[in-house]
Amino acid sequence: MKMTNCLKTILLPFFIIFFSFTFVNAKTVIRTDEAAIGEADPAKFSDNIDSIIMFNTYDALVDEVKNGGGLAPLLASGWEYADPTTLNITLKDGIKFHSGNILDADDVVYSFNRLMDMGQGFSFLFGTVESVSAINSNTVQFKTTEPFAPLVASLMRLAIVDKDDVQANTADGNYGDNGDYGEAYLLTTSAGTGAYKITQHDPNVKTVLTKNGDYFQGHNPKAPDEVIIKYSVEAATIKTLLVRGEHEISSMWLPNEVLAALEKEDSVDLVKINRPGSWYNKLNNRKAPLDDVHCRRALQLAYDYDALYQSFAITENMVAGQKSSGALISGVLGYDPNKAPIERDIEKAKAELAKCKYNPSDYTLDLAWIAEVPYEEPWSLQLQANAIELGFNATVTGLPWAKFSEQVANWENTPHATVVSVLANVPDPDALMYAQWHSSRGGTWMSAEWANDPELDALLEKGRTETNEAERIKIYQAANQLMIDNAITLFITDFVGYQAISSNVSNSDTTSVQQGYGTMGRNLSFREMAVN
Amino acid sequence: MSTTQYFLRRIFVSVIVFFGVSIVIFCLARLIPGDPARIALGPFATKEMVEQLRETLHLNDSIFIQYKIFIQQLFQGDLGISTYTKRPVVTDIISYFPATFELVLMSGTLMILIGMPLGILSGKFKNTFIDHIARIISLLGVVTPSFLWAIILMLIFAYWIPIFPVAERYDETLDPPKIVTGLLLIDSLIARDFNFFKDALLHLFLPGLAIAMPAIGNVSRLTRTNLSDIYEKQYIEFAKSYSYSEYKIATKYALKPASIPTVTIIGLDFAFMLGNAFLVETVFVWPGMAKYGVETILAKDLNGIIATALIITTFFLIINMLVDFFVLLLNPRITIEE
Repeated sequence: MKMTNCLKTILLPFFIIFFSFTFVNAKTVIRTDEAAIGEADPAKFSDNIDSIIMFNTYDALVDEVKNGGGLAPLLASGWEYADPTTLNITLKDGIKFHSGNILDADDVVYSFNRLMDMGQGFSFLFGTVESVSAINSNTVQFKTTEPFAPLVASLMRLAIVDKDDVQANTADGNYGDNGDYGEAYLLTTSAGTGAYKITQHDPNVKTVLTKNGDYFQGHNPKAPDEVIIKYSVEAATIKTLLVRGEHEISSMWLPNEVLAALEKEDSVDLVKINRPGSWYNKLNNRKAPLDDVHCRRALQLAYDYDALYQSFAITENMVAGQKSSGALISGVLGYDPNKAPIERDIEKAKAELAKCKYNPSDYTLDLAWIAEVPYEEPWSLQLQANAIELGFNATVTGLPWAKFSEQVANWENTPHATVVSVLANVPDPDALMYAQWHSSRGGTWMSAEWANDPELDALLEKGRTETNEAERIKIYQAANQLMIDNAITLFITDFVGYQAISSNVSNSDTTSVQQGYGTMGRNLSFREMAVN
Repeated sequence: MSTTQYFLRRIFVSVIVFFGVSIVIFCLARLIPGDPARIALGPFATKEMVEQLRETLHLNDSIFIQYKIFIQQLFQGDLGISTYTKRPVVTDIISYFPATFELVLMSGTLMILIGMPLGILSGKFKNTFIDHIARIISLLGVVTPSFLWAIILMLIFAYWIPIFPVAERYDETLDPPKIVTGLLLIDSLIARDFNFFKDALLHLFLPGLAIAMPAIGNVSRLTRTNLSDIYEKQYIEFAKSYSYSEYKIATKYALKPASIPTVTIIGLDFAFMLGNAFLVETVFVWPGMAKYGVETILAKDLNGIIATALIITTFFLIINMLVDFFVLLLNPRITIEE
């Protein structure tokens, strides 16, 4: 007995010290997944996973304020228009890059020139920018060729890189004096000011982010020390990993049946997230019979939105979709949550069809969905059923993305209708609407409608040059109504995603940070999350 | 013709086959719809950048010029840049091939360790309860695709009874050993990190078994059939009449001749597993080359597609030669003729 007590006396402090040490040094991790491939280079960021990496490892001059709250300075301390084509931006003092270098105006100029010279990623957002120059060490001037209201919003997508760090790691390349612009260096590392640093990156396997202790905005005290993003993991595997406690946040691409199964697990919560995007059935506005507005309206009114909406149901109370009220979506300037959604009215559809100059039975509509996204198929089949109901012939084809991208370059080859999803790159309606529906933009996967509506063009052009926000809202709401009236496209649904989140991290900090953003990828801000 | 001459001739023919395959794959890869440069740079890249990449990739040259450049680079050990990962293809292959190779080695080992004993039991106890059970297992192995085995094994041994790990090559909390061969089992043994060795072995087991299951069925069924035939031969009866032990008859007189066709099938299955690992790698989040190969096809990464196809071709050719070599060793009656 005495011996036991003696052992307890010796061992107890040892265990206390050992477990305290373990507790203090335990690394907190969030593991998540996304579709491959992940880009690490800020000049190449373009899709959802790239955006997640971007918003966690780099900062831009401005940031989005949640719930349609507009824009706020981030690396900038403020901005003002010297004239309608000149924007001056001042920078915050003393912000450090991951290397320890201090941010200044030259970094902004270098980042912009790098993005535009490389011509990839979000460079398309800055087509109207004529020049960017450093007025002094903490002021940058953007000059545009014409007044361009969405410029400040677009700056959310200009990730600022550490010029000195990148230049020190530049190799020979295709960009003259700039060599390879640090392309090889930034393939596997980060050179930003963001809350996390890239410490491991394999674009086809996983990216590991490690906390940047010097981050100027700080972290949630319980923010993860490390974030592991795995690429293209099977839904069944994610389900198993979540249940075993080896995965914290799923991607938004889990099939509904997997989500329904996870809903029954105690260790996993499903969190509803409104996403800044929509699914469209893009009607080709130039191809007969859909070049006639009455035929398009007939399809729009015949489409069975309710039946489709049911197909998004995960459980009785969880539906992964929201009826669309047009082009303006949650989080984007001009979105009106009270606007009534588009509904089916078969009698009105038949009345519209009667006004169409074409005889529907003379035409076979080719309806397409993207073969790599099999859950789009029912949405094409739904349109096929409704088109046949109106008297059209219709065929449904799964088109590989590469083939679709090739076909859409020419309006004659573009299908009559194609199911495509579009996410907002910035919380400004211009980025969403101009790129898709201005007549000058036909021929890309986003603009498979080949829209050709002068009235819509005029509104979209006016929206670009109008700097008064209230006026802009009116312009874009008018454009939205015009799109519905002229059935430019079929709005299938606004994105509502359900993400499976481990109960370890499904606290209010983690879930609230994911809500209310109108920019793709902005919602996964790991520094604001908490690991219990 | 001597054995050495025979194998030298086989190597020469294999080189010709290798270049033949390279031409076929080179042409087929270019038939996949879509512009590789546009796909690589994304939908928002400028036309100028797309055109510049097309020039860099020599896509504006004739296919003969493109092939000539490819061969010239190949001889310099350069397989070009992957437009999918944006890295040199050689870097990708070095990253991904060891993972798949180790997985296939594990599958091959399981195929032999499970398939042959199952076949021997089945053949030895023909038309008994043991035979029926073994045949059911073999049949299930053959008719069920590997990816379904992956899901089933994961469900049983990782979800319901969580005794095996689910994903990747090793536990994220462990520090991997210094890379020497890229094969984690060997590298951990070199580093004398037995804890890591055990972890890597456990990670290998389920995906390895999933890939091996169809081959286990093949090997088992073939071994059973051959062994049954051999047991009906007169010389086996003769051996029995001399009161040789069952063990000696089975191992010395029955199994050796019965295993000749099996060795051929083992070789082919082993090579097939390399190409068939894709879905299993996807299910078990295995950072291997099979998954990479399929992703490069979807992304029309021409250099990645050709490199993956040529690696698998080389593997097939080497395995085929090894099979011939082992068959020669097993069956001295086989002679090499002009």
